[in-house]
Amino acid sequence: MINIIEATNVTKRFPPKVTALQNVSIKIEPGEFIAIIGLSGAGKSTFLRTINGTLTPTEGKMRVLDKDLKAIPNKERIALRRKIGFIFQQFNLVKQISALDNVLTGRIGYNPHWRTLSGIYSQDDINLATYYLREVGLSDKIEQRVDQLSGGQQQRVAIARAVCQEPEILLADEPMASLDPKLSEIVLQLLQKFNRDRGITVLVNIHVLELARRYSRRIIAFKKGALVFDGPNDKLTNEEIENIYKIEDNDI
Amino acid sequence: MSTSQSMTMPKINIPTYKREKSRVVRLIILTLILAATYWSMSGVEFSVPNLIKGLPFMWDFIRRMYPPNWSILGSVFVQTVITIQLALAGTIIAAIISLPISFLAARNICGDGWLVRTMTFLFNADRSIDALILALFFVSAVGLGPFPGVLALAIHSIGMLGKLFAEAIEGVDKGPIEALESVGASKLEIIRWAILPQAIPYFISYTLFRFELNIRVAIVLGVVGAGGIGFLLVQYMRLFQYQSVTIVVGVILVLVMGIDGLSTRLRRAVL
Ligand SMILES: Nc1ncnc2c1ncn2[C@@H]1O[C@H](COP(=O)(O)OP(=O)(O)O)[C@@H](O)[C@H]1O
Ligand SMILES: [Mg+2]
Repeated sequence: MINIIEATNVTKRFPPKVTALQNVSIKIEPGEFIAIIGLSGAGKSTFLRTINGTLTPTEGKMRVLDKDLKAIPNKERIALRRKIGFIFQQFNLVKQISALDNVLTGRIGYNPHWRTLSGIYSQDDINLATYYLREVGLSDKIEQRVDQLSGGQQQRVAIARAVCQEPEILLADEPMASLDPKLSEIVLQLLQKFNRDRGITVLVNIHVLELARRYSRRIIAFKKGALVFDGPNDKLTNEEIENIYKIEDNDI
Repeated sequence: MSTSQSMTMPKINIPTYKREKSRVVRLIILTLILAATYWSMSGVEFSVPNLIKGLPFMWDFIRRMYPPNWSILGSVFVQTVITIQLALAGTIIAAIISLPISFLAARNICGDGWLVRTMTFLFNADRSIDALILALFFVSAVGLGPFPGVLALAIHSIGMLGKLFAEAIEGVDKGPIEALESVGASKLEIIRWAILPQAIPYFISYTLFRFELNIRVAIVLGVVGAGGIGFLLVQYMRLFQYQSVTIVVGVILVLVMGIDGLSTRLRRAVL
């Protein structure tokens, strides 16, 4: 496997009139850390969702982990998702259950139904989940209900859930957008750490350009659904930045 | 000062404004209400003279309720327990049946198709059949006693609980569902980990509320033969033992208010 993700002429339309992705082609190698930038509505979230198969491209081909997402049956597509962690802007945790139970849902793809439905996970899974909770700095919050945690702590539970999947790819959709600057750094540092230590491929949507430049070598940019930049951080010129973030008159 | 100012004010031309609802419309509405009142009251032979004629009898009734016959308190207590059992059994059976089938009426689980519409219709239809009518049906099927009462309570409660449960399921935060989908969870696993933790407090709250209502219904079902404190009430009435009736009515009041208070407190604790 040379490319862990390979999009070929991917277009995603939301009828009747939105084209969220337009003819996007990109190759991503295992172990990369990629920041995705672009204005709100540019198609960043849609792009991540076509990678984990929760959205299907209208046209084009999406190969992820050597599987053509469009060609494989639904069951296989769902099974593939355990290899792809997803971190959300709003954390998307189950607030009424404990941090540990949330992280354990990351193990669902590895377990038979009787375990996942009864909630009787193996000791190995429990050990793994608590290990990752410690890794993100929540060793004293393991059994706490999530709705008693702060926003920054909740996002770290969500990160633990994603890495507890032992994924090959980690997709993060503006994971720091609902956090203050200092907590944003912590989130990005954790993503960076899992990328470096485990070789997990990380794609992260970042709307703050300065953070994107600081944490990733390769940057890709979307504008109105089209991929308008793909290259190393130092090739991103001021002119290009201006183009990416320019709001045209007919947008308003 | 203000008067002197208004005197010097220039005369302004005030145009006529026609209200949207004219006085004629108002008059028609008022007439209709009066007509409906008269029509319905004549139908039920409402008669003020008869009401006044009946007043001494009512007074006599109330007077004969005093002093309360405290000696029957023990047997009233036994029957109260039966009424509570009736309401509790009916509520629990209804909740157990409603729980799985309410998912079939939730749009976020089963889409917006014929299934959800059929289930919603069935719940509404069920709710509209009073427990008393159901009880008559079940009495003819399984005979007199508390059992047809429980069946009637359960079946009647399913409609309301099913509808409320479905609404609770539809009201859950979509974020956790999305997250569980991204993990590769199946539909059942999504229900187990994303929907149930959010919806269960509402399920409990609605079930407690239904239990409050079912206590009242169980008392009335007792009147028509399902046993319990309602049955005791008609018995004493038939025997003209009004001093015992006092105790029964008092216990009913305490029971209903007590259950309401308890249930309200529990519901506040779970939500
Ligand atoms: N489920 C959807 N249905 C319809 N339109 C959608 C949906 N999801 C996204 N869009 C539209 O697609 C475009 C791209 O959205 P998105 O990928 O969320 O952008 P970004 O994440 O860059 O802000 C927007 O115009 C958005 O309104
Ligand atoms: Mg987005």
